[in-house]
Amino acid sequence: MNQENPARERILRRLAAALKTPTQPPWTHSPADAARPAFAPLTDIRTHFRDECAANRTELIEGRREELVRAFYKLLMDTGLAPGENPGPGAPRIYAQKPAAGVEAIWEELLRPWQGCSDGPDSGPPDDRHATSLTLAEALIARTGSLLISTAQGGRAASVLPPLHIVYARAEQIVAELDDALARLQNHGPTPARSMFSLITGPSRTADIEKMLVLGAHGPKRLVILLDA
Amino acid sequence: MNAARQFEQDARRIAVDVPLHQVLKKNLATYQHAAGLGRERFADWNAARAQAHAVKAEAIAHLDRYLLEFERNLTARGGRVFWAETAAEARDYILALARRRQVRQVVKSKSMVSEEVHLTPALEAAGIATLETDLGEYIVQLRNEPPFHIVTPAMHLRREHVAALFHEKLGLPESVHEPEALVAAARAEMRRRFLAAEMGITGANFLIADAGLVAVTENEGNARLSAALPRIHVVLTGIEKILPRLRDLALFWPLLATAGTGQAVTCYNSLIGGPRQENESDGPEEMHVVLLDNGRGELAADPEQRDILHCIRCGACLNICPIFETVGGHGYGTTYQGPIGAVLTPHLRGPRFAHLAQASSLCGACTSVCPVEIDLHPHLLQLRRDSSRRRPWREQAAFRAFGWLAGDGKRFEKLGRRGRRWLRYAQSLAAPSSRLDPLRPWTRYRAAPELPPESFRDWWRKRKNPAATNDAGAKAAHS
Ligand code: SF4
Repeated sequence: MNQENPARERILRRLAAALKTPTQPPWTHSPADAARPAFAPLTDIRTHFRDECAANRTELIEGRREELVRAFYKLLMDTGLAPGENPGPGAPRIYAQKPAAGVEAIWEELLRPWQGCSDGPDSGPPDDRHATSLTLAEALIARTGSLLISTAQGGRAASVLPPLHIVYARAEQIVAELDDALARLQNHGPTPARSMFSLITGPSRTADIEKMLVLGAHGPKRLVILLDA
Repeated sequence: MNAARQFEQDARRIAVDVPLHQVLKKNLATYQHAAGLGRERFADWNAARAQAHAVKAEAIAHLDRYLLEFERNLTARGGRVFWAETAAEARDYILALARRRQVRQVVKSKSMVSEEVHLTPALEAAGIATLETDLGEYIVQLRNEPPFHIVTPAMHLRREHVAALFHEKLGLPESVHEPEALVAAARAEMRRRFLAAEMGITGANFLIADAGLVAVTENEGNARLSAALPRIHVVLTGIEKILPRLRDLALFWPLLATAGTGQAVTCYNSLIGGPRQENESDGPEEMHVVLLDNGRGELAADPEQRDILHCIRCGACLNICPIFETVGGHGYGTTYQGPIGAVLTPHLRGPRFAHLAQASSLCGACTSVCPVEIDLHPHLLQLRRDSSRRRPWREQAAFRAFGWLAGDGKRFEKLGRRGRRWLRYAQSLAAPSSRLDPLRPWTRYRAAPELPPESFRDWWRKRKNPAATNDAGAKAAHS
């Protein structure tokens, strides 16, 4: 018996008693319906991913490494970041996750011009000075044009606080279905060890005023994927 | 005033509020268009609904077991679970926690359960500044109103309303009407509060048993910020939100988004399973999940209506409901509006809300759109049946008598004949819908149908046997 929370036993006991009586399926339910597939299989995963990104306003930049490095440089210039050693104290900064195994080289290349104004998990959590963040992803999902990230990608706030979120990913990371991505989280057993995951599908948005779409409600206004083809 | 009278009074007023209906019509039409397109993304929407029903039915059938599994897996990462039997227990737990940890500012993302337990007023009364951060919720909080709709809290407002509100409360220039500018102003204001708050409160859309994760669906990012920045994260939700397996989300995420807004999936779907772990760089020091019963256990004990617990709060049944469109979300006077509100509220708050079952045309539109196949309109009928048993004996006797008369062909024919005669007499007394018209309760709002010269039965008899311009036909002419 849980001393601090006596309601726990009462709730569980009530449920156990209540659920002894089985219930009928709804009038309209037909098991034959449930046996049919809900989604048609995807034929071309890469194209589907591309189309879904366009539909959900994710900016997808595909290319070889040099092209991605150039695109990244341009994105940061647009954001008002100044390359160089010593930007002023109030100047915008970039928050980048630590490079995972295998991406050290490209990380080094992407961030080289911005050493004076880049931070990461070692220097504490991101804050309002960070105009942009750079992270990896656990997986990309073709069905919905989404990315799945975990706290391994720079923590919880890195991908939601700055107005621009840039993701570097490799084309092999694209899986067809949400189910494939979720299954991956359970590769090492049913309970993942990380404390937070987010499926991200496009930049932050709201339609709370007259159902009109506005981007950048609380999270990033822009979401860019640099896809290493 | 009792809830039924209040409903009648409010409904009467709101039903003729033309400007409100213009906004509602537009918003609902936008939704229907998007949801229609969204359903086409599925190869078979009905297959998805049937599968979702099966998953939820399994989850609820073993709810006690799955809740324990969820608790075990979440606590393994250091999350804490508190079980609340009543709204007051849930409120008191969160309040005590906030006091103990010297919380002065709370940021809240959307949670209908927090509305159900009236959490924000309780925190505010304790001197803890509590900010609703979902834009729609923020707007209605500034207006001091309850949410109009479980998914779209500010569905009843035009941008002019929001502009006037932000001018008054945030000091925005009066001329700012563009949604982009209004959103930007709210974002800046709320960002400050996010960075200062010590506690973030969110709801949950699903509780995943096998993974020990809380799934939160949103578009704006305020729930993610609420779970990332403050040092304490509290999840307040109902016990019925269980899904057995993480992979069930591959169906439920698109299903909820499609039915809720017409999106393929919403912008952010987060899974949260505890406070910051050792190898993680940020996140709260503490995470608490408050599991609310508040009548749900008793609802589970009713096998006829248990499937109300399958609801994923998508709002589709509200959006299609002709009564919702007429009386609006505020007309119901409840936390949950529309058909789901009508069937759920009597279980949560007692039979004084049984009148909501009458607020339905029984058209069945709600049942046909529900993504988890809840028998909404049959439940409305069952609730009517149950409340008819609580009516005064005179009324019950009258209906029994009517049942007896109508239950037999001969008796029914006689009843019809008398009825027509009486109606004709009543109609002859005064001009329709004039104050003296005895049928005024009906004719005030609708034209009275013209009475046919003969009954269907008489007409049928004659048609089958034209020679018989007999008794029945002659009588009908008089009746
Ligand atoms: S009853 Fe069905 S349609 Fe209505 S909110 Fe719940 S899940 Fe959606």
